[in-house]
Amino acid sequence: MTQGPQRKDESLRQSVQSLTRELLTVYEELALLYSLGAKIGWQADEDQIASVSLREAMNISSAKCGWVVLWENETFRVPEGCRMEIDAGIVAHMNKLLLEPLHHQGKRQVLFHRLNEECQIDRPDVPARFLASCLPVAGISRGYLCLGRHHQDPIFTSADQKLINAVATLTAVELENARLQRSELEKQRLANELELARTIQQSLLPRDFCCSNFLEAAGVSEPCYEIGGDYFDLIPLGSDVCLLVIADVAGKGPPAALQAAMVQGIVHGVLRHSQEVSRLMGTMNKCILARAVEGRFITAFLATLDRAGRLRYTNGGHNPPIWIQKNGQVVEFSEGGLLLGFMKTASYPEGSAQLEPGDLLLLYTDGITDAADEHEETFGTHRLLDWASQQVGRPPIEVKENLVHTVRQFCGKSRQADDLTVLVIQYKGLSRP
Amino acid sequence: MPKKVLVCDDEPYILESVSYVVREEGYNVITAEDGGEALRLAKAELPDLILLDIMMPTKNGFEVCRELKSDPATRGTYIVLLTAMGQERDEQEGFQCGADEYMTKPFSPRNLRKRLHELLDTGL
Repeated sequence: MTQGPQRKDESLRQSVQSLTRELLTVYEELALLYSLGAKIGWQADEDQIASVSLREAMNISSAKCGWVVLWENETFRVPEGCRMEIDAGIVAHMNKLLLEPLHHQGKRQVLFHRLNEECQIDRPDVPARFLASCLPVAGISRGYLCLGRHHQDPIFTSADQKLINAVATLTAVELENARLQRSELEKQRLANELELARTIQQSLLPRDFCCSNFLEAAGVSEPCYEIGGDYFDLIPLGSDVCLLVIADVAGKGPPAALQAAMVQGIVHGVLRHSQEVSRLMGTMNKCILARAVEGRFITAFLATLDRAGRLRYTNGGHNPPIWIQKNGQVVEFSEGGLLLGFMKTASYPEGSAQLEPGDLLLLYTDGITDAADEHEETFGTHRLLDWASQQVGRPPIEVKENLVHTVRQFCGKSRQADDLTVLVIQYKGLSRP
Repeated sequence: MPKKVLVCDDEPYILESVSYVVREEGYNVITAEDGGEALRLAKAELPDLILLDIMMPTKNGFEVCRELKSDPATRGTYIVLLTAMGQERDEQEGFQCGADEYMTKPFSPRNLRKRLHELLDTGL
């Protein structure tokens, strides 16, 4: 049987109508996504994004109530302004009893036409029709966009579901963007603060190495991160004696830097009571023990050098400094005791040496000897001593720069793993001011 | 007597879908696929409302709008220009031509229905 021309026309008309209806649905979705994108794209605040999305979703779906709930720190949170036309108690109740279990099951969408009966929630004020779409970020739900209608309202259709899904997905993307932006800003803030901390820490180190005219000095401290736990100092004790200090706090970064600042304070504080290095070190040890955080030890080397070239030193578990004599001999200062902050009764025997004009002292931290190359071989003490034997009589600034350069060259492409500090002193002789 | 709406767009699927919404809301629809036709129908039929696309053959929406707004017979006809999203420059020009308001494409059928009733049933 063939169709008459009238039936054909009618069928064509119906097809066009049906296509037009579909087209209109697509328009609606597109218009919604454009307008939502334009509205929330400018928001930097996550709660604001959620709030704008909720309003838009309620408007488009003619929902009578709604809320957004975000899963944060293992719990649900309803952001500010993200609950509309529904009691906070009901929202909390539904989040706990209904949404939390579904969230753990990874449920993407929840739909009830008769919520009271289907979920046996015995409260007259819960919405009868309920639609919730998850807010997905990289396959993980960040929460739900929830909408409700009353008993007398139409049920949520599949078109509603599709539309709300689209809103929820766009919202989740924008929420994630805002979160990433916030964390990036936070990182930037931390970086700025660390940069400031670095400037402060560097300002604590001596800038003027011409503190006494009987010695010449040069030093550098390069933390592994922005700030570090190494500290060195050059403190004139009157016009004829100078105190040399180098210390290394266990660990790296801000905690070590704070302790290094504390060590500097202690050094300057205990100097008022004594200028004898072994007593100084003993007092420092007690002060550090009184303030130390458990398990964070400090190594330090203290020495006084006077105009006559007499060096008195003691060592609290620090890498032994190297004496590079003008005659070519290289000697390590081995006298000393335990590291600081370990034992209250630790004693620090004093060693001494008579320096000749032109002799060099090399104080350094383990960032030098522990510096490793790409095969994880360390620079080590033997290389340092070999290198030291070639520095006889050279000016301190050259020695310092040469050592940093040599260690960097040794490490090649491998990253600096520890704070690195060098202090080089040259005894100039008896000359008077 | 139902109000009369002139829909002008050279894209047949937009013309059809906008007309469908207008018709469904109970208004009479007349359609034009180019600017010249739009001008002719606007003058001959005196519609209550014109939904006018900008980019059209023979005469563009701005020209049509300018001519209608300068003719005492059609000056009072309410003209809604249909413009693509993000073409803010067009909006400026449109208002200079005397357009009464704008609607951005892709349009929301829901908003279109709402606006039709506001404009045609509560008095322009």
